[in-house]
Amino acid sequence: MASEQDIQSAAIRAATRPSTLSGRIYKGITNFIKRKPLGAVGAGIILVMIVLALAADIITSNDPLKMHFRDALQSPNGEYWLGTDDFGRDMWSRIVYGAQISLYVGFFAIAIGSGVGGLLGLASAYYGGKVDIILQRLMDTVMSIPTLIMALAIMASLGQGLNNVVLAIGVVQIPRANRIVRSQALSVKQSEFALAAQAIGATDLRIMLLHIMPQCVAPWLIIATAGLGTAIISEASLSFLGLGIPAPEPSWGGMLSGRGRDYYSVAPWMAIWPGLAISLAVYGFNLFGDAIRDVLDPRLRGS
Amino acid sequence: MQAYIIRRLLLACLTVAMVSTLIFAILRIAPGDVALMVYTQGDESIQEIDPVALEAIRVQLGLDVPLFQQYTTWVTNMLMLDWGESYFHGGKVFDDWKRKLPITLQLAFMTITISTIIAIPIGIMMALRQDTWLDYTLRIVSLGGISIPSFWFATMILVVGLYFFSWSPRLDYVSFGEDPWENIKMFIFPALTLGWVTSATKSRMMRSSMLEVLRQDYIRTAHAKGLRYYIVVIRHALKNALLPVITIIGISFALIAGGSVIIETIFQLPGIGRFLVEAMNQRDYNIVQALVAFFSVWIIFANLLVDLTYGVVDPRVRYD
Repeated sequence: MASEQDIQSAAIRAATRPSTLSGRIYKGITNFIKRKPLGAVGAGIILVMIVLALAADIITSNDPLKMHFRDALQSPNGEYWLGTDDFGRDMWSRIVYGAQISLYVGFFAIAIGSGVGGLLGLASAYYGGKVDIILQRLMDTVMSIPTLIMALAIMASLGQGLNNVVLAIGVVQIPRANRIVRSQALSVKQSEFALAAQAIGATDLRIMLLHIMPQCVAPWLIIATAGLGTAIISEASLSFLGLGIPAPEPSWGGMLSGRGRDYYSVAPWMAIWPGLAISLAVYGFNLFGDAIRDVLDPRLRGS
Repeated sequence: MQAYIIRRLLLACLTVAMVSTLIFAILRIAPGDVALMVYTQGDESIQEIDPVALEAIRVQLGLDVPLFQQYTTWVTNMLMLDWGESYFHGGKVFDDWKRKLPITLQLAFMTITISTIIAIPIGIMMALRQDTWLDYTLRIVSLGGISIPSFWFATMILVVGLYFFSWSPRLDYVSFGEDPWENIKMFIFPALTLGWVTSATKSRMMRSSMLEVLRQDYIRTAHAKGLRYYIVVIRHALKNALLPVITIIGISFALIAGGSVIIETIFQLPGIGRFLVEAMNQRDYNIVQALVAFFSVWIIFANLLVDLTYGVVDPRVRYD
């Protein structure tokens, strides 16, 4: 039974709730910042990174690939904000264009990994039986190869290239999303509305996509955001090892490898900026991912 | 118990079989002709190709028979410890592997020791001081451990060493038997780097597991009967909170397998991880195939060991 006070406070809340959509979004954002300050910091870092990547052409004055041999190994100055590398390429431009690559790989790899993994988990839980056993054995198999080594093997086979990197990192992410969505879908499948849908003769596809899937979005989103940081680190690692994005492209991981390493004693900024960029980006995604997890699934807090 | 161990062993073997198939499949989707690559030895300027010689290489590499036969030959050879030869320098893969294995094992052992020593006290501290500034600081730092890529951390160690102390790691490998002190000096920075990176997951796990145990009734009982605070924490809580951490230590084997690839490359340790990267860069598929299989078997059996240990230390785990 709702007491009079409850009804009253509910009425007050309803009255103060912003009525317009933009108002509600604004309210949601300020609430998030208040409740999850660290998550908001993470979101801020991500936002800055996205803006840098989108505005790359405007905020840089030098081509990230153009070599200014006369200006090689310059320390940070007015012309080259973050200095230049051993080929005289502008580090600031390379960092900013590197953000494009990291974001591209991160988002598309997670889209593939979580997308395919989630759909497979859904099918696995819904059909059960043989489909489930075969799919789960397959996932076990993929999971027993260390993720970085699996990604490296795929790259060694397919060869270097942006989209191959996306594919390699995406494939490695499939099992995690699959596990999480499957376990959620298994319980949702038993709920009344799913059974009711079955009873009135809805098709399998309809039940899976319209009735079960919406209930699996929260854990799926948690896994996807948590995976973004991992994906960016994986891309950097692959490129660092010479099996990711091919050489002249300004990938953050690739910038830390190769011949440039011989110049670190005279030009330490060449080692500092790309690593700082990777760490900040991944830190941002991890902070944001933690906050998203706390908000969507309080049971997992702190784990 | 015995039946359980046997069943788990069989399951592990099944996984190994499936992993070997997957690895074989991944390396067979490679575009381009491996025989042609061996023929040109990576020199792309070679235009004239002698078809007879090319065919000879194909036969020599066993690429002329159907895929299924290639697979069965590979698996039998792997089991017979005949891992084939390098495409390029012709050395026996198994001999190289045997020579490099102790290096990676030493790195793994030191890493696990270091990361456990770091992680467990930090995890306990975070749990005991939950939601205080200490907890927050340590959580932010440990999240940093997950976020900073190990290869950058290692690079910064090298840069700082070189820039401020004119120190750089020695390039020739010294075994523990030859000179223990020099050997430890070679391994300490790689192990510290990997240890710090892998400690983050462990301390976070330790924290949440400790928090859960501290809420149990028997902890309250222990406090109620007047035991001293630290006796309760160490004897009653820690013992039970350590269980999930065993799993994480097992999982860190996986992290170390991947991490050794990067760390050995940066610190120039001639272990299996670096061996694998070099082989991948040269597309020396015989080596790649054998080493990826090795790392997977390493992880499958590490997980098996974790499960079995779990059964021994936790009487609640039932063997069915």
